[in-house]
Amino acid sequence: MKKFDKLTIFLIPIGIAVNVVGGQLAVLLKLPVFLDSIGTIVVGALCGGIPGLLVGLGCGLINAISLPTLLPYTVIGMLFGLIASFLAKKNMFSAFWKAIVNGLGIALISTCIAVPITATLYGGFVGTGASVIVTTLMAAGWDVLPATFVSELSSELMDKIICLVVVFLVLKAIPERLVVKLPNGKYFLKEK
Amino acid sequence: MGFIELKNVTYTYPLAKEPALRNMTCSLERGKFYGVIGENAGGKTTFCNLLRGLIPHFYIGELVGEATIDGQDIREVDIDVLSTRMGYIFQNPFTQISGVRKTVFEEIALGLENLGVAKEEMIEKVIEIAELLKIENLLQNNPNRLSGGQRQRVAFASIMAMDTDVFVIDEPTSQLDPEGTESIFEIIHTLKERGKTIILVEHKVDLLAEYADEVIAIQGGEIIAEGKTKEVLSDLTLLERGVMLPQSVMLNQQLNNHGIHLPEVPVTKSECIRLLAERVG
Amino acid sequence: MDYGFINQYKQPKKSGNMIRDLNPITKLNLMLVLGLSPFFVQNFIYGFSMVIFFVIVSAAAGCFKSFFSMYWKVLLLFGVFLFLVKAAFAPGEQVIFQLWGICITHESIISGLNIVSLVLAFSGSFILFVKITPMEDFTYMLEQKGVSHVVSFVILSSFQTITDLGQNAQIILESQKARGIETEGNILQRAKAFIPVIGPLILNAIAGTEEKSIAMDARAFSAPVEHTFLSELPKAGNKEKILIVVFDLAFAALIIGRIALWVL
Repeated sequence: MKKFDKLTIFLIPIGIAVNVVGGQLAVLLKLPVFLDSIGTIVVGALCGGIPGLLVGLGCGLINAISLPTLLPYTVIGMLFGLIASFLAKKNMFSAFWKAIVNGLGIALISTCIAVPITATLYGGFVGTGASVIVTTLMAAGWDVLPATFVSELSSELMDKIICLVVVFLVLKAIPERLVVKLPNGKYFLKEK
Repeated sequence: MGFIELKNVTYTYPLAKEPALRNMTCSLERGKFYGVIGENAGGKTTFCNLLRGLIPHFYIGELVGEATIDGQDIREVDIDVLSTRMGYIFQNPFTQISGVRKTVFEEIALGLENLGVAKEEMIEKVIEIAELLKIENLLQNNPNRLSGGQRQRVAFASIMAMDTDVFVIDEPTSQLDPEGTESIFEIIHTLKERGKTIILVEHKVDLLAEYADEVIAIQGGEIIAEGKTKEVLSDLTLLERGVMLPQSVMLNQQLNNHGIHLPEVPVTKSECIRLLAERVG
Repeated sequence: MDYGFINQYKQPKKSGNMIRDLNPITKLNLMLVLGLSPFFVQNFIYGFSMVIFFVIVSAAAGCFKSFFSMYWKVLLLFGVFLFLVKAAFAPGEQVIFQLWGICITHESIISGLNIVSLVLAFSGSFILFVKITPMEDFTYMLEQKGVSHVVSFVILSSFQTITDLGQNAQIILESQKARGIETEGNILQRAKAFIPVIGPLILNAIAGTEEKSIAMDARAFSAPVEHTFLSELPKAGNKEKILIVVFDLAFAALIIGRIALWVL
């Protein structure tokens, strides 16, 4: 087994756990965001698309255990893993403003995929606070799709921008001697 | 030819400015108990990493010089295969517990499962090791809920159960009380009696004095002393290099300062008592 | 020495309960077949019957309490609220009640019932599977089917790491509180508490990975040897195999039937 793969194998459970505990922490602090994608993006950025995807998959399945209706959204988590690796290769984790851009981009992509799922499968109802927005809009006469889109986007923007800022700070703080051992390490090492 | 041979080995970790090991030359033989002493961050753990093949395979970096295990160049060795012949125990008890087994019994058996040992033999081995390390009462416990000291004993048991020929052990008693420490040393001694090769990094020089055949002192990435235990541990010049020496040796030094000289320098407590008794009597 | 405890490893694992003793792969198979069948039957009475069926099975398997403690949330959230949303907003013609954008029709009620029965049935099947299948049994079966032990490790380690990190988070939270970080108060104060906790949590966890990797290496994790197993599960008996075949065939027939109906 290659040395790079060895460390990656042990980072995947950590990515999954960080996602879950991040989410639990958000609930504990009563914050209106999910904050459960940090692990996926960190692992995707450091180890590559496939490990990131696996973290997204694992976390999605575990979330589904508490609420099986979340199962279809697992694909979005998996996509984050792939995107994270792509962003790392494009050096998008090197500055704070880039983190905001990342957050915007990912929130948009996430919404575009989540909305059709929510609208068709659940009629716009997700089971979170955002559903209140959806129902209010629909009661005012909005159609399912636009109502779902607005509520998802607003919740995703808040969530993803914070997530990506946390990811940026974490990646900055990881010691170089560890980064150098990871598959995507070369994208994070500064030129000497 | 020795079991492990190092000739002019210099190693630098990736991105580091200074080498961690400088021009190291030594020869380790099978069946001996080697104690490794020296200041913290002096290169002892790097030395262990090299013996275990983690350098260069896991840590990459720059390795210069000749290093062989059983005649094979360490750069050619397959460390996955090496893990079946060399046991490795280190300081942190929390990272050594796998986290994938719910009872201590299964935790100890994990290494045996990976080695493909048959079930009946596995069960016998785990019982044997648990009795040896006096952790029978922990066998049904969840390893993830144990204290640091208990975890360290379980980690020790898990590697010992694999019955490899060589054991590289890096400060296994840091979390243990004096009683626990003493029992670990006794167990390491029984390993040696079974013909195993032991390389033990320890600060507790008094215990090393009692059990080790030879001692290697490492400082600043260099071997500053090596040889028979008694010779190395009675060498006072090592004190200036930051190496701790056994209490018996320090006591002897004090006696010398007051004009009292013993026929030889005692390194172990029992030697010290014997020599003093003869002197007084 | 408690030999009773050790003897359990000498025999394949059995719990005594007929449902729990089914092979994990069998359970997975049944979960998928039974949970997805309502999608092809398209009849909400069938869907709701499945819900009741799963509740009964959970009792028969001796895990009703733990099953229901998770299931009631789904029942409430999606059983009640989703139905209301769908009934109020789904398109339809036979209007029963109308107010602003809310339009309850005969069709929207049926649509609501349909969707809810599907969601509840699948959720019930999934939660039941999770409750009657210990993870170690599941990973054991995966390895028996040839999946690498690395996968087993990742799955099992994920669960343990969640527990470990959860505990670490508590500790870090307490120590940050002692340093003056607020966790109550307005939203901005609470938000400021998040990063000082999650940051160190992640960094510590990542730092420990290197040693974890070395420690598992020392246990011959990557050794090129065929693994043996301390704790084993009994092989699936003939009765079980027949059960699977019957259900799988019925499911296949259902799908074919549904496709045929749709085409004609």
